[in-house]
Amino acid sequence: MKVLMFGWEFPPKIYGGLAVASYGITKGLSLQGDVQTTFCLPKPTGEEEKFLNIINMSQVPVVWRDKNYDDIRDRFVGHTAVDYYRFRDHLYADFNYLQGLDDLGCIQFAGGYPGNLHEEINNFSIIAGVLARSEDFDLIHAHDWLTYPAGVHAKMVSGKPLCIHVHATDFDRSRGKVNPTVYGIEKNGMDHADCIMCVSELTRQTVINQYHQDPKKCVAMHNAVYPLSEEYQAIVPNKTPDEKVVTFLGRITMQKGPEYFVEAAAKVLQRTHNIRFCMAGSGDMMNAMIRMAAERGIADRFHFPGFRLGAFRHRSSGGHAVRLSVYHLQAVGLRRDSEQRHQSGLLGYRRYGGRHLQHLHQRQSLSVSF
Amino acid sequence: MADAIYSICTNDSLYQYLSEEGLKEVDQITWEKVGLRIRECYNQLTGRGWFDNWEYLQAVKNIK
Repeated sequence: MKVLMFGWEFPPKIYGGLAVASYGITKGLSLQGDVQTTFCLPKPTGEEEKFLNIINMSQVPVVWRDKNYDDIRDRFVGHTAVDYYRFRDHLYADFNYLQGLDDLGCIQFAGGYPGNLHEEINNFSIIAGVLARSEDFDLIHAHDWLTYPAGVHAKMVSGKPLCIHVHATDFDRSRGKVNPTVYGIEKNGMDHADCIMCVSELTRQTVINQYHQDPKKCVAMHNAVYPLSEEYQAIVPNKTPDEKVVTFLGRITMQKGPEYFVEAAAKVLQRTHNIRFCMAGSGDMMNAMIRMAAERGIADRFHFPGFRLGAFRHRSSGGHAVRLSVYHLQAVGLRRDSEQRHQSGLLGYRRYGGRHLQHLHQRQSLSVSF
Repeated sequence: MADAIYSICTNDSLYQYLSEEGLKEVDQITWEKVGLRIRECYNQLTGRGWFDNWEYLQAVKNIK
């Protein structure tokens, strides 16, 4: 089975959890032996693993340029010069009006999430039209709203089934106050999709209720975890018997609800003083959380070491981990969660409809109402 | 949540239980199994062109 997959991130270049999830999904598919994945990325590094075919969207032509093979054969990252000529044989419209075309007739991507993200998303979908005409595939799989337009375009051209992967919705990110443009892109992708894979049952319900999708075509597809690296396993926890460390692992952003963690820390410290709290992450709410900790009078027991250093220190401390998400919890999905996997005292919480928190593991259910 | 954090920090047996059982549970969640589940979705889509979540759940219930 040949899958044409559109993604925005892939290791080793990681901007967020999407890269790690994309890696895990493609790796899991590759282990079956008969699934060939062609993964289209805006700007790969060339250092991606070789178990799948990478197509560099920055080097797929959308405009015809007369190029000699000997002049261009060493210029490609991901696919090859031979692929370039195949793509060039499948141009479908005149895109000479586009800004930023290079001498190969390709549209350049900045990589990541630049200020002109919507323009890049549109360009990505233009290039998808070339690929849909030139590649041989059975199915299209698009990861997250950034690539839904590309997936829809490829489906329109090829008639092949479209599967979209909802790693998050704008409802999650904005706590219900959606960006109408982003919502429109998400909704259009869902409307055209034949199958909608959601990272949790809660996200599936959001897709059904907030995006008005048929429940029959929505499926909860939980992420998995990778074993902890040897580097981390080698760390011997330096536990202090008289003092516990509780760590918040994740971005310090509205979506993760860090303020609940600070509030909980303040309540815990009213009862006992031998616990330290650590926010091992970074994000736009970090300064607000530092101020909040100071206002609650717990700054002397609260630490903000940043993400990577924080994760390392958390491992070293042998403490407890708390993973919060206000609107959904990806089922222990991403690499940072592999930290928690080998930690003692794993705690994961999620909030249902703003009413209560529930422990991640049903068998160890510890429900707490707000 | 405050009560839960307080409990796990002060109750050693709860701490031990969560450590062991949590690890066992999370060890069962692998990308290989995710790949199998996604493959089942692909099979439905390529086989007949549409997807049914109920049939999918029947097909993957043996993937634990």
